[in-house]
Amino acid sequence: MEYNGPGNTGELTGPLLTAWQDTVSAMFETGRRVAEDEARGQVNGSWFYNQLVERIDDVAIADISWTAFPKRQSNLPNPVDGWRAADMRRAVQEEYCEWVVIRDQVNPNVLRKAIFTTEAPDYYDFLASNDPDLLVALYRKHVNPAVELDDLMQGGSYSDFNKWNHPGVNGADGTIMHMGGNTANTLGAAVNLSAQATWPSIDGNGNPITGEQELIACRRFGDRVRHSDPFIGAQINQLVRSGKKVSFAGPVGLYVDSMDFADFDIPGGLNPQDIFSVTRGDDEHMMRLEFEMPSGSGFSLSDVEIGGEPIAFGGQIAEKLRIRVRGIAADSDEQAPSIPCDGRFRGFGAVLQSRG
Amino acid sequence: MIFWGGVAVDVQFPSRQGLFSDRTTHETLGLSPPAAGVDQSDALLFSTVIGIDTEPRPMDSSEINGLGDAFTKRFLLKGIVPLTLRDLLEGIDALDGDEVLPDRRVFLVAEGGRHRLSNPAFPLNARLVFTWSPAFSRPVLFLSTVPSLDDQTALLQLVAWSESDTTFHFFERREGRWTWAGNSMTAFDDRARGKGPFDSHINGGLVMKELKAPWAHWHSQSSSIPFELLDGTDFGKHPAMSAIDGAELLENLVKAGVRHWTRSRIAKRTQNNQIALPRELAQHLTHATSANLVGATVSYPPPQGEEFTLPASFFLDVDTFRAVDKRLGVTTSILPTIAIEVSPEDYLGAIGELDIGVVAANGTRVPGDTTFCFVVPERAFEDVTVVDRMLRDELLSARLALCILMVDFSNPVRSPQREALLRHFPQAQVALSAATLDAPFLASVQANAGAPIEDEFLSYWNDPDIVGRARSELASFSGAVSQLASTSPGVVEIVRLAEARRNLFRKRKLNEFSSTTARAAEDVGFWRMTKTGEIVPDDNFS
Repeated sequence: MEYNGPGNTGELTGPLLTAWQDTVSAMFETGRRVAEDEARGQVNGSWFYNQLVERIDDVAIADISWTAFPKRQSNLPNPVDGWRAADMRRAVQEEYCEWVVIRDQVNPNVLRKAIFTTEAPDYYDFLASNDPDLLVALYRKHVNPAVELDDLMQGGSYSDFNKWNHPGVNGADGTIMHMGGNTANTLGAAVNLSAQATWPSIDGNGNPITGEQELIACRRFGDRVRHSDPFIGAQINQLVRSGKKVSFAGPVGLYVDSMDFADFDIPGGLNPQDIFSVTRGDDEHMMRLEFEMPSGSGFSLSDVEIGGEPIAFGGQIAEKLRIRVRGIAADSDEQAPSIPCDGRFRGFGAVLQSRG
Repeated sequence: MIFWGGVAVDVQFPSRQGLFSDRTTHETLGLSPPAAGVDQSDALLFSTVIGIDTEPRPMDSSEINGLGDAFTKRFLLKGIVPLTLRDLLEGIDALDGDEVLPDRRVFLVAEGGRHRLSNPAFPLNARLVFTWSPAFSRPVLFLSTVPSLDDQTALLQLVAWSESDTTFHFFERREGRWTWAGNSMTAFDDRARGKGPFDSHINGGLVMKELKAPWAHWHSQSSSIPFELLDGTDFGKHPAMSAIDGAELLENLVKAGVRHWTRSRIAKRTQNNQIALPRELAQHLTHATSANLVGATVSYPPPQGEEFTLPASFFLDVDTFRAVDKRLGVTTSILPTIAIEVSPEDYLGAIGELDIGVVAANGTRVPGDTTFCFVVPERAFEDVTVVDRMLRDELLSARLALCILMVDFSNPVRSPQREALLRHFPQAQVALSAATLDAPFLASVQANAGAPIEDEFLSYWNDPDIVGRARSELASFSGAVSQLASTSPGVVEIVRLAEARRNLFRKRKLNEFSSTTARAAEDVGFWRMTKTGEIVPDDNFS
């Protein structure tokens, strides 16, 4: 397994790739310490491991996927309320996928384009420190040719909330480079969540805790009102209960796992493949999807129906996207012990990323 | 009772379990055994349409070819007869060219689920559902089975889409042979309605009871079914069964299939500029031909100190109201912002007071609720979809649909009052026109003015501001229910009402397993909700 740059884009090579791998390895080490810290005083050890150090060959792939549309905005009596709320604020797009929409300038009810990304800000922080030229080049290619490095920095550091990634007025510019509108959508948080969730857990009566809601309440590794956090944690936990230790597969990242076109009605004899493009990431590691009707077709995205509803919000498409994190599971020399629910992430002085 | 073609049909359909269990004989199916001396060994497919076929009837290649479905075209017509799950999995994997089905999904449902973790005596009832789709398209094959790769007697039920006749076809492998139980249109044949697969596929389409979040009993992103529970099965012994997809994806696939079939069905019923069998379509507005199950998205027991929201569709037919809402041309929805919240303490108190528990068929009882709180019946997606399509095709007006929905709106699933209005829709075919069904319906209702239900309808229809009135009444109702749910006694009443509605749901053959819903230890009787949010005894069903 190769730990290339996110999405296997090929843009990281040589020393830059090595530097990225070092960054990922550091995240894994942090995860390992988070896992150890979770059980400090009870058990020594971690069942979250650093594959970049241990280099275990015999591993099983564990794909964990969930719906991109936020749970908090789902299941409302009128789904339009949820779609509208999710489109209006990147902060509510909390399932490791963020998007912007571009509306027709004459008729704002008409959707022209929707851009989805699962790229984490961690990578762009890395680029700012290690290859700012590449950073600017990516922005110029995918967002706007007018981007300058100064636009992306604040106080000498890279800013997720720069005007090209997060102008603050969603839809006004339709600009997005990566996630970060919701501050929990980071790679580091995903690693730490997984690490905290590795511990088999028991309640006060010694009964195993396996359910999504119960486990996240016990280990407190994220927000229970999300599709992602409880499910990722429960799946990781199950792997460890089955005698494994876990890490992340390379290339490390969050990806669009699949798109469900079963309920799409696309006019003009067009096919689903005609209305979207993967603009970052390879077929197996899709990171950036852009939905738009072919130029010259005479149609807009709002001429496409999903479930009988014309597309008026990016959220309608988000409901049909599945986001994935790919874990790996290796046989563990010893079974992870179960610990009670008094484990609280204590930290160890550094400012660490969390999903809470 | 439901009305079909003017004839009352008892909802006590033959048992689906009995028809499709492993050891069912022809006699149990209601079929005569094959005639002695007739060699049927060469037949690739047998017609066993319950209510029409009196014995398994061998189908010749011409008849099989006429089905045009995704299963017979890929297998039986090529002389390939898969008898096991392994045969099917590998046969589909081997398809190539135009027949390839590259997108396979596998889903797991198990009513025993988490209860079995703490109580090994609780039956798991694990079933798998596979779907296969062409690239970027809807599934054309749906398989219901169990995690047993090589058992030639294990459940294998297939639903296959036919692009030739734009229906689903229903198959089952039984006793070493494949049987054809009819297609979607068979569901509406008087002789076969409610029989065989159509006791639950009532309208000839796809069925997933727990269609919405939290997809109770299914492996999903809301609640995974621990793989430990599948020890002893063949799960994990084949690449196709090494991982399970979430039910949230199956929801999308089933809904897409239901919409597609509904569009086909209504097109068939509106050929030649006529609506054939208007009541067949209109009953989806007045009746609950089927039902789905929905629940709160919190697991049981609910976390302390945090109020949680009960599903709105238990209190109002929000989905059908929304279908109407979209076509009323209003800028403000008629639906209120409805969020009925209860405290976990009150909910637990109600569970305890009514002695709610989950009971398995073997009598094992686990006190408390199912995996998720408040799993209750709601209007079936297939009913809502037909109404939505009728509105879209202007077979009736949004105003008419709204006025019918407002009759006894506080009882969204089953309402004898709304059901009584079906008789005012014409039985015979009607020529298509703008809002075709409005005029004959209204004429019939007006001829019966003075009767309570008809007068209730007319009070809405004749209101010049029906939209404003509906918006106001629904908002007041929502407020009253919220108030009720804010008190401990009120929550007890709501849970009692839920149990009463679950009792009605359990009479449907769709309710396969005892543990699908929680139940009170004692019969709670029949209850209904008034438009002012009060819960009172229901004389309709006593």
